[in-house]
Amino acid sequence: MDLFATGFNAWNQLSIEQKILTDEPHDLFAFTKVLSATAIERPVSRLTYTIVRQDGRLIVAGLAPEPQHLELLYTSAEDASGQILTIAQDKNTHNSNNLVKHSSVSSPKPDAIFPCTPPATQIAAFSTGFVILYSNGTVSTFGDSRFEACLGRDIDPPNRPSETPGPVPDLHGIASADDPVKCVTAGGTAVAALTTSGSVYVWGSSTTSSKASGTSTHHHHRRGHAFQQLSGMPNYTEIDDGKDVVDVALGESHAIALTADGLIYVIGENNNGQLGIGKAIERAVEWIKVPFNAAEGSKIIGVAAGPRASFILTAKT
Amino acid sequence: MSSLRDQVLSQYRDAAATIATSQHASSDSQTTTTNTPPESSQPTATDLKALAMQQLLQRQAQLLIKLHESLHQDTNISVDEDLLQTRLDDLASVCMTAFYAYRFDLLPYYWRWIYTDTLILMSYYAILKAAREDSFDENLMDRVVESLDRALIVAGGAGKPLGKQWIEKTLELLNRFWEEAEPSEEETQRPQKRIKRDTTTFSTQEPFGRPNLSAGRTCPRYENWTLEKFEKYMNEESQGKPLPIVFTDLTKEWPAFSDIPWNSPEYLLSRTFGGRRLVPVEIGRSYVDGGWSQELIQFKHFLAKYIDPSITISTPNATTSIQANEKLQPEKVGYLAQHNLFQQIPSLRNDIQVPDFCWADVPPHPTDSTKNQTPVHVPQLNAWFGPAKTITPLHTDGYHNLLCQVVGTKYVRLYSPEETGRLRPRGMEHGVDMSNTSELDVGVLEGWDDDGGNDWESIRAELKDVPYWETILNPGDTLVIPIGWWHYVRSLSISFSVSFWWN
Repeated sequence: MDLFATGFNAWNQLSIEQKILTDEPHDLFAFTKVLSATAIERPVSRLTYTIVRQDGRLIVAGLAPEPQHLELLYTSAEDASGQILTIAQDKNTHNSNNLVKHSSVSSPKPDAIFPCTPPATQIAAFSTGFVILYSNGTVSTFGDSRFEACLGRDIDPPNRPSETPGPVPDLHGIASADDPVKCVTAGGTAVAALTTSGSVYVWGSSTTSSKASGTSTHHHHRRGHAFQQLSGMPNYTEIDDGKDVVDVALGESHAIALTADGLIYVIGENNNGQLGIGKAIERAVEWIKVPFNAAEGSKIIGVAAGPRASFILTAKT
Repeated sequence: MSSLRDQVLSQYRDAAATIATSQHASSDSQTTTTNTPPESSQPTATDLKALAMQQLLQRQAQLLIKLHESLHQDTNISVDEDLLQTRLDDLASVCMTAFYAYRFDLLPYYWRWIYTDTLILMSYYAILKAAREDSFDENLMDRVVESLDRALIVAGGAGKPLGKQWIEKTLELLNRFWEEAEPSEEETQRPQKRIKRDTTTFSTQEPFGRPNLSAGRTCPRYENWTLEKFEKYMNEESQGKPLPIVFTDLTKEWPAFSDIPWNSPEYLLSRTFGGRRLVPVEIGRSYVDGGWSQELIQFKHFLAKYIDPSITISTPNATTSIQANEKLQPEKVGYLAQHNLFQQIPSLRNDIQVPDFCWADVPPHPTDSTKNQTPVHVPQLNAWFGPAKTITPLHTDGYHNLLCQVVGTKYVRLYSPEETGRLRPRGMEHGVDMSNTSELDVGVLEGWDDDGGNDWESIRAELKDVPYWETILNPGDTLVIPIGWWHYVRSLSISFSVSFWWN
């Protein structure tokens, strides 16, 4: 298998196999092969480091956390203030499990535990909260009530508080039992769900987006959103006239998708090369195709995103 | 070579050397509410991201020093300047993400510190480039002042030993350097840069008229009170429930009224680096309206765009010139509101004095002890500067307030804390407690402003017997707004006020 990466590389966090590292590394502006191995699992990429499981063991690149935290960080979701959410399996039953939240990776005691029935199967973090997928294909969110649209649901304390997981109602209307959600992803102030049939729905907060005013200098130095129109209601995002999507990942202000025909599409900011389309285009306001081809005898099997990086995983056919 | 220019360069070089060794992230996750950096503690790796940013920032500081050294040598020192700029922008944007991710009172101090230092380095790079090309011009000054003011306003000028003090000192130095450098460089354009207008003071017109004050509801006006008399009024005489009153003689000695008048645009421009300093401006009718926003703009643009469109400031750079002089009224309302302008621009602070009454012992909140704030050591100052018809909706402050009118006139409507239940306080809105702001729009209820299609008639009936106080403040007047009193403030003309909060 091969792993390709592009984007932010200020701490050599994309130089996974490289032995000689430069002091002031450049970003990667095109998908570059960074790792080859018999088995590579999907990388977990954060702002300053990348963790990937290669042939059963974790390896890390960039400004790395302490080794004893690697396993936890690889299997958890982390929001922008450093809160960590993990799924803790229940030894006695497969019908339920727990979500465990820590205020930071080094805090020994959890500050919240949420029992899940049916069990949680996947989690992702946006800037100010978390999104959870359950085994029955339903989706919940929780987090900071200042960014209500990221939660994709109404908040009504004490009945539906923002700080405990609550279902995203509109999504359950869209993704029915015939077409359940199979994957959730999040980044910045955007959240997305991918259904089994290949539709991507996106919601989130854009109240501070640059569209409000081109001259509004208050948002100076703030990166934009991957999606032009975000609201608290999940919206279908169309890729190249409605292609089916098999995998999708969101960064802080960009997104990457793998379509059923084996092509890669990207959208959003490209300041650090995270779109992998060279330096010429600063941002893509619509989904655009990346000129990436898997090697002869290989095919793309998945994509991943860090806050400002993108990854493609290929395997021998 | 100008020695001031050398001073600027060496000031920046020293700053970069400091940043290259600063331990931003070592301090434990203390939050933003204090303005002094937290006591240094053992380095903890609690926030890996902040440690990483500190490292990246230190690397950029070293690169800038290297670049600085190459100014004096012919050696070809290889600094990738594109990458340097990208990394400084990366640093600023990562800080911005943190600013939004944390509620403002939970933001760790080091994020504001890293942002401040990043902006210092950004302005250093701009200065170095200008020095290398020997092209110090308007645009460069604008950019440098903008960076430093952003650090002051957005990040509170956090950081030690640089931070606020360093920025103030540097701005002062830059101002002197620029005053010296400017005439020789642009003698021909000098006359154009003057402000063209017929009069030298702001218009005192009240273009939207003024409300009729009802007899018996007008705040009483007093003068010649001693501090003792004031304390007695606030405490014993009123049994801890003082009414709002106006003093006409508290600010008589302020230079802002006499030799250095705040009603002179030219004076204000001279105090703001030729109008270059940034100010936060609220755009829109009222902060509870849709479409309301805030922006940071140059003071000269604020004056020309929102205060008095007859002020024309032309600069050599055509794109920044203001073309609004045909219009009599600004298009949108822009209000420099609740901003500690005097902390940002200390030279204006000398034009006013904290009234002695701000040191008076005063009672706590009369009806709701949960509204009492922790005691402030010194009165908190805020500037309020805007055109006619700026509106601050009906709200309460967490402090006693002396509202001093310096330029123009303002109407104020006040309701007692006892009436809170009938004034429709708001609830939680987007995760923010809005209970200090009322749903009522006094301007609409009184028929001064268009209504929003609500059923205001029934609300009017509801409010009919709710007692209120009102006043029109003239220059030199000071309104005492006791803690908990609801107040609605509406400027009648171009207006500049200063408020002092204390408890």
